[in-house]
Amino acid sequence: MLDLFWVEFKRSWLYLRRYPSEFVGAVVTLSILFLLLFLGARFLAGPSAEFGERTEALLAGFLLWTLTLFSYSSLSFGLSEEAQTGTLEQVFLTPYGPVPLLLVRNLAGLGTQLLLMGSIALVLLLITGARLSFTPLLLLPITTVLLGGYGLGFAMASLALLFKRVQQLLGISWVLASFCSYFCCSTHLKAAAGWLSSATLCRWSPAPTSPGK
Amino acid sequence: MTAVLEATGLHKRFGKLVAVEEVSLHLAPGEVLAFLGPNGAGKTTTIKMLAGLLFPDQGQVRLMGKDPHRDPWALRHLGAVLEGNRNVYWRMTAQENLVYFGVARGLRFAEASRRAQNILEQLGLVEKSRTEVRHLSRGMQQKLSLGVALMHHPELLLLDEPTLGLDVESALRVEEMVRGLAREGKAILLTTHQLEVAQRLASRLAIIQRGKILLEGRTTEVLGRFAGEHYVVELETPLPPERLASLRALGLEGEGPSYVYHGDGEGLWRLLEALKPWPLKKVARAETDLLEVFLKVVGRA
Repeated sequence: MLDLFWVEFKRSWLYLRRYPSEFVGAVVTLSILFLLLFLGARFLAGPSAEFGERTEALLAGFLLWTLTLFSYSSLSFGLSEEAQTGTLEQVFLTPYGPVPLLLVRNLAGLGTQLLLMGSIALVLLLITGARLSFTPLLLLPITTVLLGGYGLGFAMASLALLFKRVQQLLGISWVLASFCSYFCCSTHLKAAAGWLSSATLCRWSPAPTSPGK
Repeated sequence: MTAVLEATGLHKRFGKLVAVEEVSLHLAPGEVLAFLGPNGAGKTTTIKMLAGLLFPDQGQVRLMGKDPHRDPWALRHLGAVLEGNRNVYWRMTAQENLVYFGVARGLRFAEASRRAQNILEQLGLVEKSRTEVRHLSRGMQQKLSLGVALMHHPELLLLDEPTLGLDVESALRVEEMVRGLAREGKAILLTTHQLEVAQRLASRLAIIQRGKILLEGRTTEVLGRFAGEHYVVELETPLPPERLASLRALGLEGEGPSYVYHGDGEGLWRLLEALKPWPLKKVARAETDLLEVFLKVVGRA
């Protein structure tokens, strides 16, 4: 299994190294998406609106949403793509069984996904001037999100195998996920952050308030 | 001899469509079985059931005595090149593909790396080992697919149209490889629409149509059976019309100097007696080819 993890990791790393434009494209697209959301919200709220530490909450929510989407759509998109390009059957001919192999693939691809997330976060932190602190215990909610994402990903992947093309379904589910993610962020995540904060283990560090705020 | 592949009573239905019905196949080491049939006959469905990719509604598959639908490690005995599929990752090099699929088939990384090097040498792809697959020619990609299928030393190979779209030279090389693999003792199930390829390679053949196997047997026996009691009788010069008219009653057909005799061996001797002393050039049993057999079987069905 370790060897399988290693070749899967190598595969995802090779793709990243050989096709950096896809990586850069994802960073640019998602950063622009966040800025559009952010500026759109600002426009709707009016010039007098102050976001304060909500920018950080918005940013944390957006990053979490992105991670959820990556974790749960990469498998179904990957399988749809493999079905179209004709490598799916070869993947399923593994004696490890398709589920363990795909799970290992997801875990091995996590490195590149986190690199992507980190790059998006860095770009957005630079643009918005927000600050986020990251403590090791934040790994707990992130792992929970990833596990949930992978679970949903397997469900979507099985739909992808049944119906071959699930892009439309994925599009709809993305909207639903964004709604749920923001809704959850405004309630549960804040509560979780509050709990973690009270335990002095983690805190969302607000951006330094500008004079007059 | 222990069967490498033993499939019995396979049934598969998709909604109201019965794709495969009561299909049984077996393959011994060193055998090449040509699995033939028109489009939509049920070949791919059968192959997918044999490879554990589709659950049969009824029947069972055994690869070296193991059920691939219950025991995934049975797939360790199987290598496949599936038609219409790329079979390999185009964004990876030939060597990376071999190592990746070797490990995915259960080899250790170091072993897969060594084996990949051997396979690349065997396939004559050493120079292209670091080239991304999308930059390789169709023939090289096909050879690489075969290499991927061979990485983990499988006892059974499922080859779906292995020579389709290849130029003559590449196709002949792949054919030679298949022959070599059979000599090494691999059992090979070959599906192809190129019947001349099947005839050259297969020791046995099975023809499927509308999900049912219509014909199965050793290639030479089937060809012999379909050739029937026909003989080619070639003379030095054509027979005069009055002589030919009298010989027609004995079963001679055609216009000279090459004629066909329909009948048994005894009748042939009577004809030869009647032909005496007309100079003979050749007397031989008429041969048929797989195309003729295929068309007769499929047409009759």
